[in-house]
Amino acid sequence: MQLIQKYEEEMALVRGWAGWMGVALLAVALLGAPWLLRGYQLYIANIIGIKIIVAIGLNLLVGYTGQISLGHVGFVAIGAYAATHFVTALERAAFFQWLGGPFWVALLVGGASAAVFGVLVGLPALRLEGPYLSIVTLGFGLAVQQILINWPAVSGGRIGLFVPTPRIGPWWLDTDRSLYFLVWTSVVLLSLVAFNLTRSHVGRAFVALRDSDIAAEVTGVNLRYYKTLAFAVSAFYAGFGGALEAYVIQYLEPTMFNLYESIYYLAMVVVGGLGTIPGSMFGATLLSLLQFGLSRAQEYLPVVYGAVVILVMAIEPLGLYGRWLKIKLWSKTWPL
Amino acid sequence: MRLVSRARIALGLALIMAVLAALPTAAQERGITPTEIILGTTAPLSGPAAPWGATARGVEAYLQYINEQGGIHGRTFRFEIRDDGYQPPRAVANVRELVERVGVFGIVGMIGSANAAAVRDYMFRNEVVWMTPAVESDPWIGNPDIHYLFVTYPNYYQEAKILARYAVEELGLQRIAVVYQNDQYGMNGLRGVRDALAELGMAPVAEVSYELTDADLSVHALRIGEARAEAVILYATPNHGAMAAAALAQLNPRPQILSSFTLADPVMARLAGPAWDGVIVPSYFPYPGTDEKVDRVLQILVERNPELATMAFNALAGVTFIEPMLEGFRRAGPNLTKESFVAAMESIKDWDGEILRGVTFGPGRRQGINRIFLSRMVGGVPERLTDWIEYPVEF
Repeated sequence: MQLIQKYEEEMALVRGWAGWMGVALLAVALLGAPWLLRGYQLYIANIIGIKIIVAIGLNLLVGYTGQISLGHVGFVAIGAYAATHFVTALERAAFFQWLGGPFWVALLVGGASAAVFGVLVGLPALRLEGPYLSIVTLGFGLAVQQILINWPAVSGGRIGLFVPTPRIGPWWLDTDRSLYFLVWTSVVLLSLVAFNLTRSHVGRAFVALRDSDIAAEVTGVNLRYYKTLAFAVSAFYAGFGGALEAYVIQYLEPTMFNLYESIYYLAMVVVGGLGTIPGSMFGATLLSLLQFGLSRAQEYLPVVYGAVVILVMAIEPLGLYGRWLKIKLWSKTWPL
Repeated sequence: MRLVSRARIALGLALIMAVLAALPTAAQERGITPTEIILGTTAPLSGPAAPWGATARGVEAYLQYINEQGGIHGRTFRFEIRDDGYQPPRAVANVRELVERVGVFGIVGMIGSANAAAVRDYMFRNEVVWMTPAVESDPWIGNPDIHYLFVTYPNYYQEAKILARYAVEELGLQRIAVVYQNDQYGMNGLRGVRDALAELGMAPVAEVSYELTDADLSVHALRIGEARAEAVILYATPNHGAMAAAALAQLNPRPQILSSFTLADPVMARLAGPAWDGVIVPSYFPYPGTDEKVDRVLQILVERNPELATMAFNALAGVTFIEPMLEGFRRAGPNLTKESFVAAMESIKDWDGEILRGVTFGPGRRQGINRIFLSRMVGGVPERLTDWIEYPVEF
């Protein structure tokens, strides 16, 4: 067992040689994947990366701050449409040509616009809890979809919107491989941000709010600020993921952002492990792989999918990450 | 000097690229072996549009029958179905898997405007043979990329024009209203009715839309009543169509309903009950029970998949997706390539299949059928009202 002597060691993101080995293996796997996987497998890898980003954002809200969201796909939709319109409108502006195309700004714009709506949804959350908050967020998700359906100027209506191909300077990101690097660089960066956030005073404030908001307020945590911040950060991740999704699929249609999707995101977070960043990754990867992998199972997919979710919850209430921690502990103390 | 060497490098690169690009075509044609033809589709087998997945099951059962007969020119068929749950991202993944990993010769059908739109560019870029995506015709009209696309599916817009003209000219009704689903399908119907009425110097007295999520259409029916409509043209899903018919039946006087062919399945009589009596519906192939060949095919399908008995029209519609393609394979002969298949398809002129009748393709023509006929539904049994009504060929 490792002896921790300093606060920095306790806070370190990667601990010991095993940790660094793991990071190195992961890096090799991520960098090797685009040369090992074939076209549609890369596409699936890209979709999984996007789901991971959204799931991490949702976990910050649900797992860390204890605020439930049943309409998270609304933020994803806002991010997707905001980024698409931004990039379409500014594609010809000289300033952005000089920056190498507006697409990466568009990703931030997608995230930021979702964050603004995150704050708006977060405001009622100051007074609402549990089932009441669920209904507000549920309503938000449904409203966003209905507004998009009925506002063709924004959504292209049911004809949908075709998304321009992103580019950095002279490079067009029009292959699965180039999109893979875009998506997975985003996954790595946003995961690091999330890790650091949870280790900072902000993350601790979130957890304090979740465990008891009265106690948190007594100890000096600004309830209003941190609750709305949690919504804003979470929505930013969702919006960013939505913008990436727009680029990867290159087509947007309001029915893509339905209630089922919100439920799937929540399932990813819960199956993976509430209040853990790696858990979001595990959950998003497992449930997305199930969806794609079982497309052959056809009409039995919902049954299999539901059974897996129930099974994971029954065997491991802490989610996949909880199981992983147990395995890790077991291997460390082995052969005891 | 430097310029020359740079040009050489560029030329060399271009040559390498050309060789690389030529390699796959030099190898065997995708999806064809001496003994097998691989086809695939993505369909909503789960989720909100699951009943439409019956079309894929219809194709599957029919190909099974063809295989039992020994296939075509010694080749049997393998048909790969993938479930997309009516979700575009999953449809894209499925189609790409079918093309890139399974290696299908072509994609048969596809349900949902959004799903078809999401894979459209991919299909064109990769020159995949695509038979009859079950969507509106707009994306194909005037599109230069549809060389490998063949469609035997009616055009909603033209169908709506025919329905509106029939209501005015044959039934002598003056006050025409539209109830439509707020999407591509419904909007095409609405446009058709508007344009047909405008040509007659009229306009719809009410245009009422509903959403897929609506669970009750009685308010919508009240608006039709307030407009004192004599005829209602309906563009809806089976469930909403039944709800609309039931609500409209409460009105006094009761308006005449004319519905899109998508509601031609006799299952509507069971969903809507007596409210579906008297509804006028088009079809693009003869109904089961009115045509021996169609009955025989339905029997073949049901023997191989008994579940299809309750979804007869949808299952037969699946057969209409594949039937002209099989004729193309027959005509292309044993030396099958993608181009020989296209040439064979283009040679199909006024061809009668077992379900589809009067199919014509040609160089520059990808719209295989351009006619429908109208029937009146009485107790779930169609009574034929008109002969074939033709509409313009547009793509």
